[in-house]
Amino acid sequence: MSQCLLCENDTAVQSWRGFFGAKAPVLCNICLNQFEKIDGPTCEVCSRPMDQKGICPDCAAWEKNIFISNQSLYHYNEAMKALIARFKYRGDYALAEMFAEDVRAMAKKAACDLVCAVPLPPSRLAERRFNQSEALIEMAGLPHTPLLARHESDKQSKKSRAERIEAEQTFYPIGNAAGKSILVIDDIYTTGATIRLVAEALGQAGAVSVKSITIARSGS
Amino acid sequence: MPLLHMSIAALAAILFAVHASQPVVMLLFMTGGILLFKVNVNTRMWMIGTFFLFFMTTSIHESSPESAFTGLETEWTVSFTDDLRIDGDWLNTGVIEIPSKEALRLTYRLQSKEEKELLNEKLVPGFTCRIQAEASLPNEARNPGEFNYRSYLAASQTFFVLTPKEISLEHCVMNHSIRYLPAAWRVAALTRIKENFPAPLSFVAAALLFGDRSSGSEEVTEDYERLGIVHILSISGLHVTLLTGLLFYLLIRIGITRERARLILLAALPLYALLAGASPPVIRACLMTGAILFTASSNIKLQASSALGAAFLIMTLLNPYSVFQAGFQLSFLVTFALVLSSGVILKRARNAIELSLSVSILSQLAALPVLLVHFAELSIIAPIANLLFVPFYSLLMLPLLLLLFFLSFFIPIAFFSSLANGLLMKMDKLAAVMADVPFAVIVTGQPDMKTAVILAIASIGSFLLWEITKNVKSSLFVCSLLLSGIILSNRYSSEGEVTFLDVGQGDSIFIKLPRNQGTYLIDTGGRVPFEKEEWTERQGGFSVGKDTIVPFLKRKGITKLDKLIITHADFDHAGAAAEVLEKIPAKEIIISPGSGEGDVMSGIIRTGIKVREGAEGESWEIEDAFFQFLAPNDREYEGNDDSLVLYAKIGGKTWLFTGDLEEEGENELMKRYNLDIDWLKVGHHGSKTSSSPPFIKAVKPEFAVISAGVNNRYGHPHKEVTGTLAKEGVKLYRTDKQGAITFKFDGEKSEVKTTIPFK
Repeated sequence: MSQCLLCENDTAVQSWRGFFGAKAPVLCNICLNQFEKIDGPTCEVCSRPMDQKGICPDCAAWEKNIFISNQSLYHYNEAMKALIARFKYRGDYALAEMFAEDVRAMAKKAACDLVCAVPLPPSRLAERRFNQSEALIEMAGLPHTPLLARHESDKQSKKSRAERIEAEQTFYPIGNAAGKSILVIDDIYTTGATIRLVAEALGQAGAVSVKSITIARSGS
Repeated sequence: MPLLHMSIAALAAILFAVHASQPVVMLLFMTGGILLFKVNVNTRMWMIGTFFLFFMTTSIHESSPESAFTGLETEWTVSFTDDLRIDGDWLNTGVIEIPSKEALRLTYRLQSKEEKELLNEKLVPGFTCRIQAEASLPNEARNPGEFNYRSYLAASQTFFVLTPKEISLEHCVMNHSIRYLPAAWRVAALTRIKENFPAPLSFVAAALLFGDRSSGSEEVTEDYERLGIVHILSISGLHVTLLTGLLFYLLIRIGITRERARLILLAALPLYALLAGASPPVIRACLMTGAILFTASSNIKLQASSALGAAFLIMTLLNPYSVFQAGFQLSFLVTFALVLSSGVILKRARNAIELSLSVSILSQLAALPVLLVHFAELSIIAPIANLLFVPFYSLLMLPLLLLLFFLSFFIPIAFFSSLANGLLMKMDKLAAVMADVPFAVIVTGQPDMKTAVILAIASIGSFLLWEITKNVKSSLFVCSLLLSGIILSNRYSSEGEVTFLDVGQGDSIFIKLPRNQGTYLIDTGGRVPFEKEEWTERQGGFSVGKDTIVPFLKRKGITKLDKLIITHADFDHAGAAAEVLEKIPAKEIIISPGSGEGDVMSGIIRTGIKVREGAEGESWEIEDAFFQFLAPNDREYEGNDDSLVLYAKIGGKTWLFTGDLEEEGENELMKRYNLDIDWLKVGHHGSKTSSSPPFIKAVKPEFAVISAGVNNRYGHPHKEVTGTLAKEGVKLYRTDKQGAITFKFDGEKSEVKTTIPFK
């Protein structure tokens, strides 16, 4: 029997595909319905929900970089907040499975040469015991190429918007990505500061372009 | 849902162990193989284990002797069960042989009205009698594709029919064992219904509350069959769920805790199964509800699919042969489809009407192969009819009848029941109108097993398609395309046939030319009607037209005959014609000159179909086939010797169909024609007044067919005739011995098949 990763109810759907061996979903319908997928018009660069298609003022304001675009799956609502907290801070590693299929599909569409995680500073990794970004890549069954590492720094989530945008580079390249396009997978996209720093560091490793996929898109 | 997967493995094992029809076994192995490949390791192990377990248990069943009896015993001690039926002067009932506990059937012709009343009162479950009776094997199918009573009974482990000369009450005692209590209650309840409810409400009450469908009127049942709603009269999962839900609610209302209410229901379910007649659908529904109730108290929640699997495994472990019962097949197939559709397909319905339509289409699609094999026709109007009748019966009639039944213990209910009865009759009238809508039903013909399996695959595929495309249209399109393919390929098949049907004492010969070039019926069989005392009259008793010929023609996919040839005006040749024509009309009817006056012909004339006289010399030709009437050559009808005699060339052979032609007619025929034929329909059922040695010598048949009833009172065929044929080296087929005889041909190839193999 398959149980919901969040509430532990039975999730097996009584269906013809299910009978012929299709895998049961990892969440039950009740839990799944708490999360809102992003649909409708979004910013072409950062996936922010907007009234009509286009480029949001934030993205327009960012200076040009080899970062091309970000794609996000869900709104960062209360349920998603709780889920990511449970996943990232309380170490419920298995939750990454619920995004695996979507991440895999989006990665395929992004059509990049290499997939790279956002590295954690060594002390943070020791604290959490795993890198959530790598977990998402691994669960999606994608090959991970470690191209970057990170100096010690303050937690991004503890910073204000202005502090984030002004943040200094803490990433540095450890691999060679000469002439490659890179896909970065992470949990949340807030201001786009992190991904742009990552892209800059990847540029130093020789990458020609960077796209990203994140589970949630926070901010309005 | 490993339990459901295990059921597939169990079914494959059972069918493999009993050497069931090859295409079906292949289908199950294929499905099982796909599942094995797709499911996780755990389920895979369970499936393999189940396969071997069921292969073993079924093989043990197969190798152990079927019955404790040889059939030669004459002294029996039997107990009556709740399956008691007195119809007219006929008692037909299930009994249990006491020492062995083996189930037997007992049929007995009541000798007087007094005896009928006496037995009606005395025979109750547990009544135990010592009787002198001959045991015989139940009837087997005597025509191609016909219902096989012998295998039907064998599926419920019943192998002999007892026919006592008398049942003397002096040799009977009442067994008051508690074992017979539920059965006795059931009989008492059915009697209460008969006394307190007016007809036809009483039939519906007996059917809906206690699963007894024996008393329904034939016309209404037929309308319901055409509308595809006959299932609502059998107790199904819906009934059991509604009833348990109702009872659960009542128990909680009167202040019983949920846990205790659940226990009470669990205890009540088996009792209800017995009260409701314990047919396969009832047992299935009670087992499923019981399994769900049973696990509801623990922390595992059993899904409907697992409950279905559990019910299947339990029922087939106890009796693997139950998978051959039509009721079992339909009940499980439809529930299987509904359960697997409940998570996705049925969730999409936006309102009750959509849901009801989806359920009805699902059921029809799931049951398609079984329906066609058993009934050879398909109700197109079913989804709409179900939309109207299912709520009427389930939501209105069932609770109402339940309430009235309980009230009947305390107050007179005549007023309310007559109101309900009025409503029911209005609905039955509506059913009659709907059933007559053109194209309400399409006759598809009976598919062979290979085609049935293809249909089964198509119906599973159409469910997957429905689930994936979120649209029923594509699946309906696939299925209707396949269905019309089957109908057309059947109709325009290059195969032709001549079948001598077994119509008891009488004649009926079916001719089908290849590629839809012609379908003819020569005679229809029938019985001389005679006045009966009122108490002996049976409800919807057997009649050769509606019970043998019409179903046979439907299985052949025939909705209209090109010609009906009535050789002469005797009841054993023309008696059932009107009955056949009512269901399957003919483009024209050809009779012997001057024979239209007789009583027997009046029914035919009344159908309004063109009737004309055929006479010597008339002939017609269709591609390789040729037909010509050789007699009679006068216009005066004088009985048997004026039978229309038909000479034919069909399938590369020459045939002579003689009706009841006797010696005088044969002599005339020999004088006028020089015949050398391959197949002879022996005149007058093998009576010695026909088939004179000179005639047989003259026409030189290679094969001969005698159409006569089993143990008929005329002693047909006479041994003079069989002797003559044997002497001339003619290979003889007899319908009283081999059942129907079929000559099939396809181009140059041909074969002869008998329904009952030569002994």
